[in-house]
Amino acid sequence: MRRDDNKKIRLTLITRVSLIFTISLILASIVAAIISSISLYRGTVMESSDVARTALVSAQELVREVDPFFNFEYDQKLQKELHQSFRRICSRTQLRYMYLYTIDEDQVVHYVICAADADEDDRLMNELRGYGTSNSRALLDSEKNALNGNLDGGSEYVSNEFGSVYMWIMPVTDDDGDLKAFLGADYSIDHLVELAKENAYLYCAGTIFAMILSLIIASRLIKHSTIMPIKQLSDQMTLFAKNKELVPIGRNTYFEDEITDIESSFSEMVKEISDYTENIEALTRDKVQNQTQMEIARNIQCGVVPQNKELLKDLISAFGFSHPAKEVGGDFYEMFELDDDRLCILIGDVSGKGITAALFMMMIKSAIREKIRSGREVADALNEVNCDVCASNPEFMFATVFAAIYDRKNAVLSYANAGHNPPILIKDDPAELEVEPGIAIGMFEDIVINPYELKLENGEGILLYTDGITESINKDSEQFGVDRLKAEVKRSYGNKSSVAAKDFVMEVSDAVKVFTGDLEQFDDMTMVALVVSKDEEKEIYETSLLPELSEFGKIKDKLLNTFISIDKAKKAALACEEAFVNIVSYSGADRISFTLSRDQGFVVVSYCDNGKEFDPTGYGNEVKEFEELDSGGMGIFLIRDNSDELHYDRKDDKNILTLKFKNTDPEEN
Amino acid sequence: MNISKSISGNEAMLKLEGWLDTQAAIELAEVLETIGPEVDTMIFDMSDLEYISSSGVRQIVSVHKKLNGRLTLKGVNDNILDVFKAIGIDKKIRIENE
Repeated sequence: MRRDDNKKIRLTLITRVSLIFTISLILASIVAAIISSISLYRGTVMESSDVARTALVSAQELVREVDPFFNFEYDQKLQKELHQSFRRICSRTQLRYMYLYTIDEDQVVHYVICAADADEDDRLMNELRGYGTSNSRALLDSEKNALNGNLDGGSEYVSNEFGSVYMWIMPVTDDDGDLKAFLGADYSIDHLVELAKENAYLYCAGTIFAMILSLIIASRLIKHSTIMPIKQLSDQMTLFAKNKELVPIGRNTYFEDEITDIESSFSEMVKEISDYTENIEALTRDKVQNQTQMEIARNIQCGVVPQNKELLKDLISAFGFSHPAKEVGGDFYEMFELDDDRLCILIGDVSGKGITAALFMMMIKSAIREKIRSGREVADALNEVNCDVCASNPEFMFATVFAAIYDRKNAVLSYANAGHNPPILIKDDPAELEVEPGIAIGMFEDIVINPYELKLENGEGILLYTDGITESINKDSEQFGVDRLKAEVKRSYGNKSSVAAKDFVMEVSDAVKVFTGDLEQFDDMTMVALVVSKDEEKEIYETSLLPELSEFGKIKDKLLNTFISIDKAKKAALACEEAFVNIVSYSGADRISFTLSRDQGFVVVSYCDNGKEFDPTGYGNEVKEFEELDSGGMGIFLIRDNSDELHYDRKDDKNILTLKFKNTDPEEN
Repeated sequence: MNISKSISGNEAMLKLEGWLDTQAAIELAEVLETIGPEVDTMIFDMSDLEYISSSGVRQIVSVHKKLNGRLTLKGVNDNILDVFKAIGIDKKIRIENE
């Protein structure tokens, strides 16, 4: 369709108006010519009629004067005189013929005198209609009327052997009023037409001139009053469409009309479009700004809150997990060791989104951490941070926080809540931790957050979470909810493989993922768990081994399972195996006792044998030459290289070799 | 420990899987016994080997000496490479890891 539009011929308004005017001019001229010709012809006929009548009256006077007794039928001299007079009249009045005749009782016409202006015509007429000629043509109406007494005369169009003429008839009476003869006068039609034509040309020329003049004036007026404003408007619209800017019209008008209506509508429309465009540009700017802000906030959050973090102390494991939504919320968590026995975990959710929320989160998080690091109890730390924040919080931001410290020495968890949802207690029957809701940090200066304490049994723990977990929805718009969370924790607790905090957190995370399916995560999801290891983990394992190489297989799995990291476990196994092989090969002992225990983040392995005295710690310093390696001597080197501490003792005629291994995830160091 | 052996001409390929500890080193020695003198080149595929003790290293070193160095170890993982480095054989024996 558009392509067709483009192909259209451009016809400007002025051309169009000129064209319309020209066409109407031609039409008007034609109509004017026709009408004027007809009316002029009629006018000419009327005029001729007067001339003819006057001529006839003067002819009648002449006849009456020259021949008062109407002897013209018999007096040739008289006839000649009248004939000459008639010719003169013809010449004067441009009548073609003039004649005198009588009509007898039998209605036969007898011609007396026939005269014509032109010599040839006159000669022919005298021959055919001269004195003494008669004919019995059909009588004209005016002749019949005259015979019947009506002497008004008349005119008629007649076409005969002398051509087409307009004939005027006048009855001639004597003084008594008796009908004596008839006078006739003919105008040639051709002559009449000639006359009319001359007038018509003049008239038409005048009319056309007047029309052209009026059209020029009209078109000037139309151009100035209508076309120019429309052209201006059109130019402005084109300019506006192209450059999106408007030059004011500034046209003075005396009247309001459709064009001024269009102009004002256009101005209004332009204003609206400009406003709208500005509005859209502002919106787009805001949107880009918002996206940038979100990006920055996300970077801050991801930088400050690691996605995963694990802390392992002997018998305690803690694991944090944070999965920010597309538009980061402001969830955060923190976990750190206070000393050898105490570990602190905290979780929080900051109101609002964006950079302000992210910075506020950073501020709250480090403030609480520093308070706790400097020795405050959790409740005191939260109260103090709340006071500090409330003192200067122009954006009225607030954060819900739950903080807890676990002390291994007395197995007590001390905790406090500032408006956060209560954590789940990890035990055989998981429940929400009993704690008062408290009020979010940053809201009121004068509130008091109370401290709580709870003794954790072995195997128990707590799971801290943000509402992103419980409020995640599935495709039926159901929330995950606290009940599903508790059920999931219960299931994990019953599962023998879930021993560390990481297991609980990841299993809940997986359950939420399955629950929500493909739906987009709309809020941050954050969890922190702290779990105290189960009782049997503390056990010291003791067994006695025979001095045979295959005996190491008995303790290998036990040893490997004690370690968190499989790589560390393999290194420890290598050191222990080499030590065992040495004892079996060189000490000559008949009984070897093996103990496995934990000590403050270390796994301790100890061999005790009754063989001859041998201190392996004194060997293995010098690197052996490659060529000697196949004969042995690598064992002690590998023991030293793969253990963190190595001690030898000789007591009661027994060799006691103790190996210590750090039991941490190597990625943490 | 799982050892699979394939010989083509004068070249033997041994795939070692699992734990090459003191016990397994004895098994490896037994497998090596069965390889005849016509084999003068060996490749040990260690990509599925999880653990090696000094006895295992000792077997590798003795094969290396017996073949005058025509032994190649393939797919040596980081744990085992650490052991080799600690002892200092990583520079003596040809190790090809892709």
